[in-house]
Amino acid sequence: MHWVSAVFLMFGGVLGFMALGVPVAFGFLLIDLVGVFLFMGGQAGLKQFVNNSFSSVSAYTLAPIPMFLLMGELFFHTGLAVRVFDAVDKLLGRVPARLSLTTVAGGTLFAALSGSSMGNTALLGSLMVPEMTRRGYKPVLSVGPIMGTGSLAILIPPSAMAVLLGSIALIDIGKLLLAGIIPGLMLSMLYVALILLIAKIDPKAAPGFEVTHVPLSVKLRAVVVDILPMAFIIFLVIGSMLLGWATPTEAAALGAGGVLILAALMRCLSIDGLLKATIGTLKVTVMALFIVLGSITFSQIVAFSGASSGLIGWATSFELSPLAMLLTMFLILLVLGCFMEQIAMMMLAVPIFFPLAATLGFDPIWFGVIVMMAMEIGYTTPPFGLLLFIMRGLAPAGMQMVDIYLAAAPYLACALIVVALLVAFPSLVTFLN
Amino acid sequence: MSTIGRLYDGLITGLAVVAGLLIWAMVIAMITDVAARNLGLPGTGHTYALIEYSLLLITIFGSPWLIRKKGHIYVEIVFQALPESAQRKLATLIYFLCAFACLLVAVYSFGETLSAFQRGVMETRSFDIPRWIPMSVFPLGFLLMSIEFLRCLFGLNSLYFSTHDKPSKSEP
Repeated sequence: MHWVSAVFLMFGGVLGFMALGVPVAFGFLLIDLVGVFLFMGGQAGLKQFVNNSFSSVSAYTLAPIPMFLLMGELFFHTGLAVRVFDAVDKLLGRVPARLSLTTVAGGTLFAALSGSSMGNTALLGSLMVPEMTRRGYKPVLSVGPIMGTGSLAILIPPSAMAVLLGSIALIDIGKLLLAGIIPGLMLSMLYVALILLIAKIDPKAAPGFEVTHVPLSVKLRAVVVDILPMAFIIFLVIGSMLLGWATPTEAAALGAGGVLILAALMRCLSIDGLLKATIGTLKVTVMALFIVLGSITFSQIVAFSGASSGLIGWATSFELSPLAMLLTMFLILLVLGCFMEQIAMMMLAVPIFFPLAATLGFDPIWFGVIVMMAMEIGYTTPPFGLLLFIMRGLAPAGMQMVDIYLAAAPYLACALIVVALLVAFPSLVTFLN
Repeated sequence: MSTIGRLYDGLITGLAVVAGLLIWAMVIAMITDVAARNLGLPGTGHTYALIEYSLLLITIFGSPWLIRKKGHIYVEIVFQALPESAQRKLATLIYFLCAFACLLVAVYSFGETLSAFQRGVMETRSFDIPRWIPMSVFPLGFLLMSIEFLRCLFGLNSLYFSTHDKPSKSEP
């Protein structure tokens, strides 16, 4: 079969199944079965599929996914997250758009403690939206910063998505995790600048209100009791990796264990919280790993059928500059991100984009961060960004979907600025190499 | 509900409980390993392989339960835009295709497990075990997934409709 037909069958098939509403994991499974039968020798191909699937999910590199998810779930379900948030709130005095800034500061800290963007957004939304609505904040300074900051979890370690991307694209997971820190913090700072700018141009967007004076002793206590212990968790994950005490997988386990111990010490631990955290972790882990199970064979069929090399040969035949190629790939990811869930989008793009990036001479870690940025943006792009729907569920009555789209737009612009900076100054992430 | 039905439900939930416990076992095993290594104590050396098998079991044991809990994500664009009668027909087709695909994998993985048993194939990781042992979870898991989709096909559960008449959203 010609590679063009293979491309249409494999990519068209999986996209078609997804569009019809077949669960993503089973969409991959169905097209895999067709693909192995056609390209890998009928029944022998089906046997090959079973053996591939067996090795694909029993891979040590995937272990941080449940660990990072568990860490975030424990953080949310034990109530530790709310304590951190209250402490951040106490620290910020009388500043313009105070609640928006609290969202960004608290959300960035959450991103360093949790591996889930959805969990982050849901928590920020449920904590902040009611108060912001009561204070008359406009959507651009209420739901906007929540969606922007919520999606930071994909970049700032611990990030389950970074682990998944690293293991599928065969790049160094530890380096990819660490490479997300600087772009994540840059994005967070840009959000702060944007909020201050909007508040200056349109003071009515965040009406000022009298803040109860918090004595210095109370602020100090909030830092020592509620924020400093979180540094211990961040150290367990990032510090243990940097110091070479633990591999990324082990660092993830240390993080999960650390949150559990901290919750116990802070008397936040309950059977109900533990159960909810375990069930939440299990649901997302099984969903993600089952997609991995199908998508590894998918990548192999794409390579084996000649679709991968054919498509790469075709793409490079235009002799576009590496920058133009990068832009094209980024735009494809953005379009996919508008309609598709992040893991599925990653699984579709990796078998083609990473070999293509290698031919173009791109640094794999740098390219991995660009892909993560595209996924981060995809979470909030209309019409089907996942965070938009989470936000719709939490937004005050009367707020239309279009208000949510418009509120997210300036924060998406910040993300695009960070992408441009990463392209202009690759050393922002490649200095780790 | 019949005894068989209750036993079957117990099996689906029981396997998910095992998967949940394995997540915690992985946390404990890895922390113990890091501590032992950094304290200069001898580790078991088998944590790697145990974690790998745990990931396999978590995926396969958790999946039938996840189908029951409507936890597998799907894209709603076309599905939600269709009239309800078409949604129901499409759902039926999807259940049939998924049940068939899972059954096919169950059959072929049973064949591969049997062949590994007969040929005495060993799985070589940090410790060696006969390959048919970890492999046998595949036919079991995929058979249960197939049954879960058949339950949807026969109206005992639904991935798309929360009640018997309203379409539901996919869970993220």
